Amino acid sequence: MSAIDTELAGIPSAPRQTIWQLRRKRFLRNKPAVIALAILVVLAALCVLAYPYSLLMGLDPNETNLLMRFRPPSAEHWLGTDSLGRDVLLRLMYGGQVSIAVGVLGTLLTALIGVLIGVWAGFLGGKVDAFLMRLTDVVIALPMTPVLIVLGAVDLSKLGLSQALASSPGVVFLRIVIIIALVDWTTIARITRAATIEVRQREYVKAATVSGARHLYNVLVHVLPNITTPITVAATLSVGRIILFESTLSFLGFGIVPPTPSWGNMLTNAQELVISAPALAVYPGLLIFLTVISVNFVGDGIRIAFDPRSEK
Amino acid sequence: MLRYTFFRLVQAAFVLLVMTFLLFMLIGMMPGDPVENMLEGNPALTPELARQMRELYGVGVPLPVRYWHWLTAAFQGDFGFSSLYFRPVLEILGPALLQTLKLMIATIVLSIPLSLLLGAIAALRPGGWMDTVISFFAFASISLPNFWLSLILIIVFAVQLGWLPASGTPLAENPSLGLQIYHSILPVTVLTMFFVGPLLRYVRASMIETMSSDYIRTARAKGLSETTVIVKHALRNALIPMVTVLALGFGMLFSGALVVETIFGILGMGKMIFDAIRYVDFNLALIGLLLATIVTLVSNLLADLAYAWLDPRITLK
Repeated sequence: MSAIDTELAGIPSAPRQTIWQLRRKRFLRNKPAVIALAILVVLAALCVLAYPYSLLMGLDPNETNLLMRFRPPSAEHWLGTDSLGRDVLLRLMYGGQVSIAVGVLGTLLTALIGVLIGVWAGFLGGKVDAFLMRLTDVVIALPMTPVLIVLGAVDLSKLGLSQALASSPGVVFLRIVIIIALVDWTTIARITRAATIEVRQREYVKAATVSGARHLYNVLVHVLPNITTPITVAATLSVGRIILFESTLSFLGFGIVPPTPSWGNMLTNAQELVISAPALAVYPGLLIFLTVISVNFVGDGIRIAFDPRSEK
Repeated sequence: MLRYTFFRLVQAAFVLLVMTFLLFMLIGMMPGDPVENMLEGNPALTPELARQMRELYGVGVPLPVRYWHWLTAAFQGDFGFSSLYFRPVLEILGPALLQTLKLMIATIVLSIPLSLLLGAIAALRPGGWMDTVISFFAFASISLPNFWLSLILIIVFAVQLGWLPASGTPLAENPSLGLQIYHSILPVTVLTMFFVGPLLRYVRASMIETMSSDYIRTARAKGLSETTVIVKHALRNALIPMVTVLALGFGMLFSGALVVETIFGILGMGKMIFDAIRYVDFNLALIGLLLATIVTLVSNLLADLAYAWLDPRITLK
């Protein structure tokens, strides 16, 4: 019985729910996902508070003080100091900003590349599709970690950037986002292509084509709005992976460069500290783990909320 | 099937050729040039000698020409010298590859039964408490930064408890098998932890699907015991697509071994590539990356072929 029928019968109709209300309801029923989301909010808040905290405590994240090395937690340094006498908590907060920013921006760029290639291949089909999918195969066949390191080692001054610009923090940050997106777009491209092919075969797209709609119009009006669900799900699930890539790269010394802190590069020298200051090796990794596992639980929650059939 | 195999082989060979060029170009963009790097380490090198060496190494020659020289030499089995070890790169490659393969085989041998067991238990009662615990474990496995897990295991088992060595390579000249295994416990644990998660999620999904199929109902209706149904009927069929997942995972594991080898000081492919890039050893980095690519490519190819062999409909497309 439709809503109009119930109204005609004089029965008060149930409030209409939009698809988003339904999805939110389904997401909120998923306890692990909600807890994970709460953890993420707390972590993000902690990172945002870095600047106010530094003002409050009168600390600088990069100022070294060799007389204050390896201090245990105190009222002045809540988590103690590191091998160069810097405040560990403050560096963790700033490091988190970098990790989360790389995760979010990297995912956006990955999604952009993946969707462009996926829609292009799926909508046009034929030779274009075959070529783009072979390209995807090539990128998938790349050994991830070694290739990321080579890309991280590329000397930007050989590409025409000045030495000073190439080593500025902004460029270093962007470069990580870009190199991760360059190797990680394949999953989203494949998913987008499959979804595009499915939508392309529907009657309304055919009707539009017959009435003279151009490809671009068809893609923007008919295809893209109908494939947002699989793209959103795939993108959420890649945030965690991208954060892991960044931390691994920074750990190995080919990512975010000190003194700018990142959770990965705070562990670079931790191998030498395992005996003297093991706590310093615990915190950054624990935060990476917490963030990534929470993102993955939230991603899984979104996947189930968007597509209840996949719950099993 | 034969035609399909041939088609895929030709395709893989082509991809490999494209890859050699891409990697060659990328490696060329690392800082410095080979001769400059050598000059830094050797003040006795005269300018005249340096000029000759620049000529020999083709510094300043356009990229396509350099690539062509490298490619023709490579086809004759000459991959150049390592500036880090002062030996032909092929001599360094063999032992390193062997080390990595040992690590990976140990990991796979451990991961398969573990993921089968955990995946099957989780699939018995989807949504039950065992399933919840095992799913959490799987999520943890894909979310753990493996360099951090290595550090934590070193802190706990090597430093605090003193049970296991923090180094993956025994110091002895000719270590016995027992000693080698003893030193591999921590690295293999990290890699297994990294590998089991995706595998067990796959086993679980595949088992749940199989358990709801008609022949399982028939088997139960025949009065077979639950153990027979699960082990002989369900698990066997759920296993078939595992072949592809394993083959795909092989490439992933090869890539993941880099971090573990670097931390535990194991002289495998991963550490070799890492050192070659860090100390700008052009020839060694190139051959290492190429070999890593070949391993990934071959495992992807095997995955596709295994899938086509198990499901003949694929080849018809």
